[in-house]
Amino acid sequence: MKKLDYDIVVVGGGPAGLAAALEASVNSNLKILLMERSERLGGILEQCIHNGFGLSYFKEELTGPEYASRFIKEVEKKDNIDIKTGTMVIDINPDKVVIAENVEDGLFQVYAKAVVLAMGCRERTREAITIPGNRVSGVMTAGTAQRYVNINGYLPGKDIIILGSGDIGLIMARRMTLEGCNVKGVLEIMPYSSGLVRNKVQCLDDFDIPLYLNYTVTAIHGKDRVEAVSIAKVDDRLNPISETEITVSCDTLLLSIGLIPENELSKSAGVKLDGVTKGAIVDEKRETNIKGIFACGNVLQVHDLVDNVSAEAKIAGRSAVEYIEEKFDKLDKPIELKPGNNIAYLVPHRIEYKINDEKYIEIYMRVHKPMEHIRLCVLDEKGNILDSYRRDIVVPGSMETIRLKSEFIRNYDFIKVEVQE
Amino acid sequence: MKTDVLIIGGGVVGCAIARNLSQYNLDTSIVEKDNDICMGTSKANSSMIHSGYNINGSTLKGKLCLKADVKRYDRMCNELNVEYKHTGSIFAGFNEEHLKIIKAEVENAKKNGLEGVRILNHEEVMKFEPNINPEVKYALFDPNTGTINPFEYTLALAENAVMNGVKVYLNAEVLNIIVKDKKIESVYTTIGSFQPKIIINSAGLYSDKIAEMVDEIDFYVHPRRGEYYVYDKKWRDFVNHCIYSPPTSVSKGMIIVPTVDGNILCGSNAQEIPDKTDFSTTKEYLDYIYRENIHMMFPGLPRMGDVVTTFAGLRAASNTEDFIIDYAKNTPTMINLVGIQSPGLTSAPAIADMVEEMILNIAEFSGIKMTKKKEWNPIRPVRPNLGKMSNDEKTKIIAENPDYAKIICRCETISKGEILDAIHAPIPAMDVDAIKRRTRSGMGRCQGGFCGPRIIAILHEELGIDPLDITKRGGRSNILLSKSKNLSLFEREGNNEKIRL
Amino acid sequence: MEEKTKIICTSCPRGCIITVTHVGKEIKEINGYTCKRGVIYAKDEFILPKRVLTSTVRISCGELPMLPVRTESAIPKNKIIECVKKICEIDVKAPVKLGQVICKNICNTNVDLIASRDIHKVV
Repeated sequence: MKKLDYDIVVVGGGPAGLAAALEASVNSNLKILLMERSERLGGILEQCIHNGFGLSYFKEELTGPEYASRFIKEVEKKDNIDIKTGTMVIDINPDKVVIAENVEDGLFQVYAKAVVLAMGCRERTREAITIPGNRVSGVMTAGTAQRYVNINGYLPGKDIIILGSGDIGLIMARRMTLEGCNVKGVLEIMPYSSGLVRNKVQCLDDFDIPLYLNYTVTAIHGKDRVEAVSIAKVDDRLNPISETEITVSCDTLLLSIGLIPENELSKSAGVKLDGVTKGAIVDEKRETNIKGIFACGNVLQVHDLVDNVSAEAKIAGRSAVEYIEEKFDKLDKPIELKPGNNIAYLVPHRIEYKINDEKYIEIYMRVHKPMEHIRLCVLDEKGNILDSYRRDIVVPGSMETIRLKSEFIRNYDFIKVEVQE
Repeated sequence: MKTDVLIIGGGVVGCAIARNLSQYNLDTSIVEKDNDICMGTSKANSSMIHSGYNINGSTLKGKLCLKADVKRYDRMCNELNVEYKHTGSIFAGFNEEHLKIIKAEVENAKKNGLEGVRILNHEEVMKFEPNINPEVKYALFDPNTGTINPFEYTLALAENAVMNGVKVYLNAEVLNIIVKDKKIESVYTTIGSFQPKIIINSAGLYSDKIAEMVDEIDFYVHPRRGEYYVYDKKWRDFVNHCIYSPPTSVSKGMIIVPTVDGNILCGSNAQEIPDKTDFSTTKEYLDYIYRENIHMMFPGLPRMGDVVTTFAGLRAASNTEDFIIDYAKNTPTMINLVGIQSPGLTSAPAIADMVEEMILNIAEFSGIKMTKKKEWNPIRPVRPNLGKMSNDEKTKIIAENPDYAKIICRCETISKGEILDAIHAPIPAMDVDAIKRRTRSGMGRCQGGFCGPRIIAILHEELGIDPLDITKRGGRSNILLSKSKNLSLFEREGNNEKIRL
Repeated sequence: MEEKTKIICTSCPRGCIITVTHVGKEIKEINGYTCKRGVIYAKDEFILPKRVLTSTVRISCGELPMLPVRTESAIPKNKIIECVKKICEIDVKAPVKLGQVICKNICNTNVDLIASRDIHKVV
């Protein structure tokens, strides 16, 4: 088996991996290897041909391929980044030995000083919510349909129902409509849409596609291919109300019912995961519990905006360099960040290092349930409010960010963030 | 087409018979109505190889099940390169009623000649199954029960038969059988007609329909549906033995099986349904199985989240509830196999032996000669499975063929090389599920979301099938319905009908 | 005759429902917004709603069978379906460069349809 040595190995060539590799390369002369399982760099952005990317990162509105190409072109120019596409990483161990395979090198090992995990996420499937009925063709995730349509040039169906109001589902409602398909409606089990308002307006309302909240699919019918689905309203505990059940004909059911970080490799490396985000537990450098292994992008927490993925990946890329160059200056003891009232999670999970010249650390979070006119409050151990941030509205589908001021990074065991009315 | 023996139905029974017959200088053909073999009852069941400790040894199914014992399976699976896991089984008891059943079963096991069947106390059960419901009081332990991948097993039987000269015709549904003077004249199928000297009717759920084409019959097959859960491989070590849950006020008892592939399989209910093509799962019974079996036996298993799939299988129950294996009443050159339900998977090799005997008895009358081949090869070579190889073995095979380094299914780490092997195997995989069953591609967490488009591309390249004609599992289960940029779609009638609530 | 048109603001996740009161095309009053961005959004959206259209066109001799395309800037919303039908008829040949004009002044919108990625030629 071939053996290679690199300073930094970046696993995944999507938006997170690209930005991490680029940032590491800009800040050092270290030898970097970027590995991507697909034949081309760019990850999921390749199939996200719609616009809406880059408003915060590039201050202009781009499509997915345009956004990706800005990074790809830079990465390809760097002499200290080697790129291996068509390469599947199959194992990472806690000593940062990475095993991968591709047609050119066969099975090979890479000894790395630091590893950046940037594997992204996958979609939840029909099976994840066990929709009863027949195991017919014509049921697929919105992302799979997106690939068939945008990359392969085929339509998975003509008369379509979409379950779940995630952004990919909304985007695909418009995309299928623009190919001449009939999207009959979008169903969301929760009392609120999980996608961005902008997508609801521009992807559904523009085309008169109805969105039904508190509705779900209760059964899939058909012998070989979907012929119809049963749908029903759900009660407060999300159980279908049988009297409201009706059957609607369709030839395709697309699912947009959530994304899950793809952490199988992280687990083999011994990385500890957060039960809520399903991503790694990290400090502000995006370092996991395994020294020298960093995580960023959707493998760490599912983001709404690729702009945030790129920003987070830059932190991880820069931190990998600092780790190798031993530039870290630790606090006497780490400060744990604790989610309080109506906060589902916080990333990072703890602060480990003294702050240098930065004025703040960005903290990402999501709320459990929608609320209006609230404050996101930062509290010390005793419950005193250190700082607070007004928000007109917070919803689970939209990630919130606060800037934790450097003055608060001092001798606390923990800092709590919570929603107060 | 002329053939000596025509086997109708490519399930485990038909394929086991085909393999037995492939030892003879005979022309044997299997006709299967679906796009692959093993598409009915043989595919969707408990995957258990029963020891028969609890069976009535005087019934036909009891006799055949006991004949297909551990020794027989060890030898056969060795020849076929099929994994057969000796799990042993545990029947868990929670009260005095259950203890009574357990004691009776121990006696029955003795009567059936099985060794090692014994009663475990609470401590022993907990040691055998640390994650079982701790309220368990005692259990019956049987070391002779095992499990197998039913598809892999059936495929191996069929492939070995094909290696030894048997022909398999897929998408060949029997439409009619013409008999003249007690002899078979012609069998019409959707791919043409056959003129066999002997017919083996191993058509499972449809064996009554096939039998009826020849004779008046006094039996029938009624589908009895069972639903199952499959758990993610991360639960691999959670269950160690095949588990029988005890009967409750509402259930006759169900099973939990740690499969050879590392999943946990849990089922099933038994529901009489009218439609032999209705493989749908229901919320009602999935809830019931979870409540009465899974949660009761292993409270740690979740209802959702780590369930990689749920499915339903149809048992081919006969009106007698026993196997019916006999010559057709007025056509002695046809043998009917009817009502092969549990333990049919287990009994298949013994059924094949029995049918072989029956054919020997009618050989002369049928005009065939049953002479054994000089060179019959019982070994079905294993195809490369990179998931089971060491790094050195992998490196070697990739050096010979780099396609083995090109990963198509990321969840199960299945390479293009393995998929090409499945497409070009003795029984070729021609649809997406056929590839999935042979290689496990698409069986993991993402359920084919990632590899689906790539597998369609490979099927298109290798077999020249238009992507629009590629199916999930044959029939009209097409995956793609149109090319994009299809102007005519905009003009369709009813193209603007929305759900209005 | 005074009329009311409801517009959902997409400036933030709040999604305010803004009411534009108007006589014909003339705006009389805007209500229901909670910030300044809402007023601007509602005005633009009422006068002439515009969208950037993204789609794909067939491409031959390329590493991929479809080329992603976009309108260079936003086009009137009511032109979208006409444009996607036009897009169905377009065939291009690799290589194509990001930003390359694929269809000039598509459907007389005064906006060009451009490629949103490079596609290399394969031999």
